[in-house]
Amino acid sequence: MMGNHFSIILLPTNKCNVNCEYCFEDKTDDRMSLAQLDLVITKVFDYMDESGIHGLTIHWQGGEIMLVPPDWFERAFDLIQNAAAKRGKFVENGLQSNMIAYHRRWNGIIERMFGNSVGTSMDFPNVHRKLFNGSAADYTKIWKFNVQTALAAGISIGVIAVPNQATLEAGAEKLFSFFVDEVGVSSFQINTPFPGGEQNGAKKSLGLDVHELGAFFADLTDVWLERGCDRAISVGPIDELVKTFTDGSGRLPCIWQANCADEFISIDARGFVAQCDCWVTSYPEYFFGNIYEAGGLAEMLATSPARRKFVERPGRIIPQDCIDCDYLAMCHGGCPVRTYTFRGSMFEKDPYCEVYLAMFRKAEAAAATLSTSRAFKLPTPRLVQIERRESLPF
Amino acid sequence: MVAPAQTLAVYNVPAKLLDQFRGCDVIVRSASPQELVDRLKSVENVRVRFLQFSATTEDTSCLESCGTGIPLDIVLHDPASQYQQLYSYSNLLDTHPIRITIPVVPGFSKAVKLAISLQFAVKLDVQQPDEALLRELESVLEFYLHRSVVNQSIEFFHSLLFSFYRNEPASLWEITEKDPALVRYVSAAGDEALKQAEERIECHGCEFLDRCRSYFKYPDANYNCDGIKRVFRSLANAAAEVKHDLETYTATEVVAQS
Repeated sequence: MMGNHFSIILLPTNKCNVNCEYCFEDKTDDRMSLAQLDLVITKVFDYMDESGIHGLTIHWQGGEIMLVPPDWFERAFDLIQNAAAKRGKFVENGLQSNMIAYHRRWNGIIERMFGNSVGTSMDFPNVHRKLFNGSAADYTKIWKFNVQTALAAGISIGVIAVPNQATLEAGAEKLFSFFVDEVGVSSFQINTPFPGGEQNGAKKSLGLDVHELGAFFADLTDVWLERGCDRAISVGPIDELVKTFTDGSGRLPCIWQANCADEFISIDARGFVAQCDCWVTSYPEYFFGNIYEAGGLAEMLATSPARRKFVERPGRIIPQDCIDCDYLAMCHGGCPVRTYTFRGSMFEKDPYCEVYLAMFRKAEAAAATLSTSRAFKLPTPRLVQIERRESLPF
Repeated sequence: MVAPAQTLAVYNVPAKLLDQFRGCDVIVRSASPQELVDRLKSVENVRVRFLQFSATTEDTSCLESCGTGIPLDIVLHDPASQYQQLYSYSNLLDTHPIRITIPVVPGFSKAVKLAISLQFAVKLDVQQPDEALLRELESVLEFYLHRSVVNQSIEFFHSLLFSFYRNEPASLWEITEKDPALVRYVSAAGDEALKQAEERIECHGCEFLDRCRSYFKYPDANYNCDGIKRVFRSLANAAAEVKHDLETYTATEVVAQS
């Protein structure tokens, strides 16, 4: 059903240590035990066996993942590796943390289990990310200290940033400078905001003017071309878009996959299974089932009425107008959760359509410029395509 | 019933007749993916070039872990109404090369666009398009030649582009898999179509004869080829552009390295 590789976004805790105003998760105090993890892994491997799938990627997050102690991860890693060895599976692990609880005692497991790499989140300027007993500025100070400590320890850090109105006012140059020059990271990506979960005042202000946001991304592309491209600074999804338009090798984010239902599922600490972390934490009506209680994952995924909606979404929305779009191949109607949280239905195209169009046009132009200047050491995209098409099996 | 001859030809056979073609190269076709899976498992000693099935609402998950690596050719019959269905085949790409065969009928361009957007190769099943269809065909050609999101082939454009690029002759009959010397279509009753189309006398002198081979003069010999010649000319011009681009690129590389 999901090809030869399977991915899960696993939330072993639904609890968090910070109080971000725009968080889409409805938190609980639930935490997954090692026995429950064993059950999850067994059922996931059963499903992979039934589907002829060999590889698994587990994206670990929460809640806040660092509220689960490192020694739990030491035992979890052994449990997973032993099970994988017995079942002939290959497992990769990724870690997404807010880094507020980071301490050097995490370094060992980060290296052993997570390839010495951590994904985290921060906005510029930080407006909505706050401590329970502290301001956004306090949050930023702790985050920056911990990230720089981790960087100094040789850990690779990737940052997800969500723009707000102040970001657009500050501009792309200042955002780039904050992450690259001030914090010292070499990889960050911009995600568009959405008002998921229980509503509040901050979430009502998340919607940004699509033309302003599109212009911001275009500016950020120029900044990356000028200051990041030749220094191997990754600014997602811009650099991957440029690669895609250059030779088709870019890895685009989940919002632009042909169908995210073909890509991954999410499982939370209570055992609930849903499309992604956005759905599993806040939208019970879209749960596919509970993996602790279900007979098997394959049957759950095949019979879930909620999952059927995700599977059917692209086929239902594409005829509305996406079929006439020049960039259908890049987007396929966009993200279900962004659509649902802004529109109340997932069966419309992504409300950031205009923003994506601006990004695609800019990246396509950048790819043409870079190809001409041989920055990617390739001839024109058309020649690459022609060479590739030569070895067709039909 | 025709006994399979020992030739280099590949036989396009209904799945139910597969056991009569042991020892042969075959294209196995069925309306049912499950029948293809069942026949693949039960019939030995056939060399399967690819599997061909009609796009229906039938579940295709049985093919995901069966015959890994064997190419699949999925045939749309009404592309204007069936194109959304292509999403249901994208999982098969993990275990099979996939081509979508699309008849050139009104509205076919939507299916081509979505197929390419899903990273499927495309084969156009073209006959003698009228002016409206030619305009749609030319819009698809423009998409194939000039959009950077296109990473897969669209036949017959692709083979003709190569032919022009390399300055080599070609045959549309071969490209469209309608040359009985190469592909022998076996009907459900077991009959073989063997008749080879001949070049039309009125085509002599046509600049594209060594690629078209009178393909567009069948079935109606009076078909006006002016529109289809525009398609050929666009491909020839594009091949010349590519050649020029490549020569320029190579020259630039030489200068850069010297």
